[in-house]
Amino acid sequence: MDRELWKQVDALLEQALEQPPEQREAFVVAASKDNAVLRDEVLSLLKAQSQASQFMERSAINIAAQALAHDSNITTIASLVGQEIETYRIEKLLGAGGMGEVYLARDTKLDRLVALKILPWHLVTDVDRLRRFQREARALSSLNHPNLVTIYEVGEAKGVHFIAMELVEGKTLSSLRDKLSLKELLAIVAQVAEALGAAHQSGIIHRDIKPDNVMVRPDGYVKVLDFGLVKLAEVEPVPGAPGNTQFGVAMGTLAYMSPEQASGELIDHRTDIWSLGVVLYELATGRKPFSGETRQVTINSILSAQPESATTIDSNLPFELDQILNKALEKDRELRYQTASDLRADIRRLLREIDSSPTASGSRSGRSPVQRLARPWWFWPAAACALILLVAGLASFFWLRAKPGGPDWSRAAHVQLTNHPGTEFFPSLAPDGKSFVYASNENGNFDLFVQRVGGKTATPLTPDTPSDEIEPVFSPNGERIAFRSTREPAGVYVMEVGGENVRLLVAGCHHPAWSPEGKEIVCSTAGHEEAPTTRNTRPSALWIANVETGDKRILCENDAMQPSWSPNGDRIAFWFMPPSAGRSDIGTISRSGGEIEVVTKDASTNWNPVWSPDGKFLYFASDRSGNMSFWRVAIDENTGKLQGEASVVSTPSTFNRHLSFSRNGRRMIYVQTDQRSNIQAIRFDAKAEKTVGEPFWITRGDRQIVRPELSPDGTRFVMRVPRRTQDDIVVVNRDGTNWRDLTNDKFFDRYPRWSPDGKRIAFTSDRSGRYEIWILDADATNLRQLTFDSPGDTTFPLWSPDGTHILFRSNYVNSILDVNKTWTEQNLRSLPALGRDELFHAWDWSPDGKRVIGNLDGPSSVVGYYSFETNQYERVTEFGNGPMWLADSTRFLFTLNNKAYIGDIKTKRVREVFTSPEHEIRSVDVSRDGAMLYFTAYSSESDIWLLDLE
Amino acid sequence: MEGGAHELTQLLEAWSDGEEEALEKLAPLVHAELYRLAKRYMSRERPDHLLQTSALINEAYVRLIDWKAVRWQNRAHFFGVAAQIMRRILVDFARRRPRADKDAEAIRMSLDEAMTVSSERDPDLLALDEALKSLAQVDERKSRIVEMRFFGGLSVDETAEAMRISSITVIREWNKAKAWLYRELSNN
Repeated sequence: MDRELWKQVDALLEQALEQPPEQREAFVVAASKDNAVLRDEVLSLLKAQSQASQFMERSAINIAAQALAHDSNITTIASLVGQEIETYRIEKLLGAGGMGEVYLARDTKLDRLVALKILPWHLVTDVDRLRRFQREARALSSLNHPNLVTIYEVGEAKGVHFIAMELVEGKTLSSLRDKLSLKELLAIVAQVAEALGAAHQSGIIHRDIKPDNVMVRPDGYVKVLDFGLVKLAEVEPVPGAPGNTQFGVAMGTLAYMSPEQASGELIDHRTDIWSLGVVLYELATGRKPFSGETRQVTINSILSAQPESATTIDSNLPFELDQILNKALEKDRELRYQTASDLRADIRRLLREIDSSPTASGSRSGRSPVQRLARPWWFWPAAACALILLVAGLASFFWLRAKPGGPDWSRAAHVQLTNHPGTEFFPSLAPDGKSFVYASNENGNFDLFVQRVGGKTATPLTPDTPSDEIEPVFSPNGERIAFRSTREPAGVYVMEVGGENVRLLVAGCHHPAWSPEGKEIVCSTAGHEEAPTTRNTRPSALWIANVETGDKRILCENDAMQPSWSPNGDRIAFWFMPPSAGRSDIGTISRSGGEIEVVTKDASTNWNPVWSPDGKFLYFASDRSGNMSFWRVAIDENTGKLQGEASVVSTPSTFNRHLSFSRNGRRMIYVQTDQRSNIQAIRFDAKAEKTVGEPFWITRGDRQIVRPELSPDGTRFVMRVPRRTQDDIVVVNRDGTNWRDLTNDKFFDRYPRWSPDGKRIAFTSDRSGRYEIWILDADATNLRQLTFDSPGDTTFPLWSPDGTHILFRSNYVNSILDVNKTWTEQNLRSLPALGRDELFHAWDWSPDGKRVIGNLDGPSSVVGYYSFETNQYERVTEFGNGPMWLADSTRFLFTLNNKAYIGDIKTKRVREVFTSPEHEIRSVDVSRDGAMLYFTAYSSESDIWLLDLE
Repeated sequence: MEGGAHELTQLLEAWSDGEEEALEKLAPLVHAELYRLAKRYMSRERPDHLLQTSALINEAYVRLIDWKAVRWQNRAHFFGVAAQIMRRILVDFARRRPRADKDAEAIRMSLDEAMTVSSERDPDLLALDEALKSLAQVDERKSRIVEMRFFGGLSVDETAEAMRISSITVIREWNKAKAWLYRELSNN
């Protein structure tokens, strides 16, 4: 075919594909007129297109690999002994199981022995899931809990995924079966409960507690292994399969599974409490409480059988043990021990009873007197140690935390230094720690202020400037301040502390940082108040300027922002946006340039690095634990090499940034940001299109409520509530009472929408490992997944008014699915694509079913709709967000900044209906009778806080 | 950064500078990835996960490339070159693969059934390579998009970035190219 003809074919094919499938052929016939060649070409391509939906959807390497799998005799994976993986030299195989092989390995860099677990392929296929596991492992390790195995690294090298962890020398609890006295057993179970309690507080569930996962060291310390690992092996739900497979069942060890886990329901931390109860029962009585010949019999037993009481099996066991087991093995988790600490407390109480009662020596029945007398090899030094640990558990926990050296900020006084409306940020402490300079937009634009620590009066340093002044930093001798100004020319300026002698130092620069001797300033060519989440900035360079002469040189042209100079002057820390995975990471570079030493390398946002004044630590902000906290890592300021693991610095708030220290390192100052949004209501006259009276609060508090939607019967709202490390779906009554979490686990559940009959809620969730559409009954039961294997993140479910279909978006395409069909039966209908670089962001399906209204996102975002009658998109307004229909299917409400508007698709008229004096209006909804408007009022507040050890 | 990454980077650069021998050194690295995947196929119960391998291949690149040492103009350029190389190596691999005898063919059929992979959606790589060359004659852009998506395993967005066109254009062009190639391959 020649190029000319192909161009025509291509263009006509393109147009044809924009038509609804059933009209394409007619369209082509009409459009090609008399050109039979053109017509036949396009028609045959259309036919091919309709058959080719799965064609080439697997990439070439998969096809080649599958062929290879069939062809070749690939035998077992070669043994890894003797090989090196990153810095680990593998010495010998310690054990192997379904969750991987464990090797003894030497970390050649730190010259220590570690346990290296090699994850089998089937555990690492899902990248998202692996990332979540890594996050959890890091969060757990940061707890530094004595009963949790420390994970040094979760990594991948040479195509092998591995976990490097603390080598625990000891025996598994299962190998100590029948060798333990009741007292010893109780002391062990109490330590497991303590480990679980700490993990649960961080939102992490083990999911596979069993005797094999508990290690007992010769000194009596118990270490719990393999937290959350079983989650990697979770079987994905099979669409359309009957029974309980709708929700992925974690294939933990069946005998230890809780009823909710065995039946595939949503699980929470209480599943671990059940499993620990099973362990206690089994080791105390020598029998498993729930077992059966087959899987199904075992499951039935877990779900319905009542195990024999422990004292019936062994009359020497104390009655209190029955009570503990009954509460731990309660099938209704609401009636079970609610926390691992409660279980631990009861066990400790029982231990105390045993100790104080000379007759009940804590020994078990005389099944084997020899066993009872012969203490296990490891126990003698252990018993005392374990018990002391139980008593002193918390104290040792904090002691261990503080061990790496450096100030213990958890003991510091927290003082709020500023409390103005608006934003105060970029504080810098004077070297003596007695005053601080910061930027504030109290007067409209950002200006610099200086204030005494403990004082209330802020002295403006840059009054009367229409430009923004931000990022001030005290010079090391406290006599000058460098800052960024947007005045002409924008860049880094230097002035005296009183605001005199302002002069330009480096045009175009941001984030100045002084060298320790105060002669030079390093700054970056890009600036951010917060770490951006998308990689849309051009690479930022670092410049170094001589403060006296103004001479400049480029230090680093790779991406580098917000530098901090080490106290000995040798190195400069900064953050950057890595070109590959991860959002932002921290590195250091010598002041004379050269190689970058990496400080962080993970998928979280790491930024805002600041050296501790003694040069021993690098502090930084990171959301690795879910909220934006400060972390610190021991570092060699000459080489930039890390000297240990990063640990979290506790602060009282959940979003922290902009850190600065006094010279003696005993005071630290930072910005805390609170974001909150609540529901407000105001009476509405839909006919006159006017609000009536004053708005009133439906909800109050410091939480964030996102896009509440009124239920069809007008009695309740459903909404998303972002929490520290998860987003949950919450229902609240129309008057703000009776909060109920419909979901509350570590997944991100978003965009909930009521079904038109008010019985179900569709939402977006990452609980399958990627964002898909899920559905749930309004009483929080019947959770099931609607979409699978979507090409991209799948979001924004919208119900059709008859409740039979749901519109959703995956990548750029909006599709409609049939709620009553399984995924495999779906025949998805897609809305036509928009023009180049445009996206239809659907918000609401009209009550008459004829249109879907939303945002047409292109160069600018406007309100528009898609009509099922014309199959066309139509823009209605020139601005605005989140339109929601009124009952007449003609008018709609939408928002922008602090205003709510009403629009009309017929007249295209837009009218303002409400202005909030203090809040941004983030979403709006209207009661079905049109008599009440509900909207979310959002505000954020940034204030400066001090952590004081003096 | 491991040694292999640095080496691969240099090899890729050498290849893009016209040193054909570099390909011979690159191939084993891709083959290793291929074997890794093949093992995974053999150990799996359900093959559906493998539909997501663009992410995996992507990660393989990221893992193997020493970004600091790379003097590609940008990530986009790199992706383009990497997809070309993948195509070369995979097609060569398919060409050299011994044809199975009849018994083996029968076994393969049952394996395919077990894996519920329909053969119609998996093209023969050699035939596809040929068809793609024809497509390039009339529509260079579509052939490059196919190269990046199918051989390079790149996502729509990555392809868009590499070719400096919008994602929607990539989706449209990809759909049309698929139709063209499907017709071409089913005619033969």
